[in-house]
Amino acid sequence: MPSSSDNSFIPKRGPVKRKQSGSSRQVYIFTYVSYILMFSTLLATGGVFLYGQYIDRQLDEEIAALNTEIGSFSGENLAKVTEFDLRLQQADYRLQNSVSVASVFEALQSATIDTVQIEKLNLTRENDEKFVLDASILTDSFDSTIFQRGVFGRSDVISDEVAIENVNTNTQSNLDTGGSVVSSRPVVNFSAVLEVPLDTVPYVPTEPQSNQQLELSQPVVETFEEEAGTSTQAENETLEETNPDSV
Amino acid sequence: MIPKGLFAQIAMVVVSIAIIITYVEPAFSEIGEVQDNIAVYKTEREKVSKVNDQLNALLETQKSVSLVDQNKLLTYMPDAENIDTIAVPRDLALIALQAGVLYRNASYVGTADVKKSPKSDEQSSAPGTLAELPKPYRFSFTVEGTYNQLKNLFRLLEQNHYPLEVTELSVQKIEGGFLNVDMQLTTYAYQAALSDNEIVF
Repeated sequence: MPSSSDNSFIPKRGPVKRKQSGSSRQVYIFTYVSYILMFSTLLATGGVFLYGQYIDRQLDEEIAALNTEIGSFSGENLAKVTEFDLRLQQADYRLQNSVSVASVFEALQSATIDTVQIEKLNLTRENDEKFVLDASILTDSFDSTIFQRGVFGRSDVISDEVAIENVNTNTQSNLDTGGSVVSSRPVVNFSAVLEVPLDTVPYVPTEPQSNQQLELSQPVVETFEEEAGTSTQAENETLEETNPDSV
Repeated sequence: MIPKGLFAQIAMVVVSIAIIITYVEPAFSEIGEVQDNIAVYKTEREKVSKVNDQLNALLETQKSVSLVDQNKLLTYMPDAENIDTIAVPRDLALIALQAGVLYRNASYVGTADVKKSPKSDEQSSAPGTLAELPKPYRFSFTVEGTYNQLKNLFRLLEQNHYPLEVTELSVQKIEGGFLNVDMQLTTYAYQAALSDNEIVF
């Protein structure tokens, strides 16, 4: 006897039809993915190609700009500036080390006691560090020698290292016009080696006084004319030409 | 049975992957390299530009120095060929005359070795190497005079427009209370450190 469901007018769906419906759905997703992948790849390819072109142009522009910048660099100007700078440095270097020998003499003068007489003086400049003074000195006694050594040592300008050497006693005779001895006195002579650091005697520029101003341009011809008295006009012209400020 | 459409889809995927591997990926790498190169060129261009700007600024600074001062600098630190072995003794004779001492002799002795003192390393303005120090030229100078005249002579030597440094000095008493002074003076000439060929950019 047929069941009541067999009499239904609604068609029955079998399990196979359901499977077919699931399979077609999977293919649709793969199609969708593959299309997306394909179009993306094509788009990316086009984009990469165009961007590559753009970036190449940018590189060319950058190279051109660099070449232009290098081209605008002037080696001549650099040499000019470098030379000027180095000349300034060298001038400044000598200026920084310029010292006053007159100050050395004044310091020596103020550090010399009354009973002392400097017979001979040698001065040597050792690089840009110090002056070494070798003085041959005459005095009346050993006490004066000791006192003089102390005064040299206390001087602000003269270095503490004072070397007193070759201390000898002698007799100094005073002669009259006829050459006979009038009087004689004992003397002590010695040599003193002193050091004066250059830092202590720097040259301080001052405005030259009006009567001491160096006039190197004008008097050159007149001076030699006065002294020699034989200068010709041609020589004068030559001197005038070569004179101004040349070293 | 596999439908025909599936083959086409698989082919599309394979082609896409092939395009990505053979073109897109290498192109990306190439673009990366080009971008790196652009960055390098840009950096270098900025450096060159900076150097050019600095050079122009320095050139302007140099031009702003008056001609008078430039001439003074050239007088103080002249080129070696401008050290005139006759002009210096002539100037010494004039200085001696101005100081009131008796001029005996002045002559060119020669060049001296360039020496760098340890002190110069401490000076910020000192040139860096021996080759960049000015070249010394020695002159001998002999005069006679009183003590005060000699001090005056040294003051005038100090005030000269170019350096006349007393390197060696010997003072001796002579007849009549006068002093005989024999000295060596040093003046300097500019010494170029680099030739044009040595300037490397």
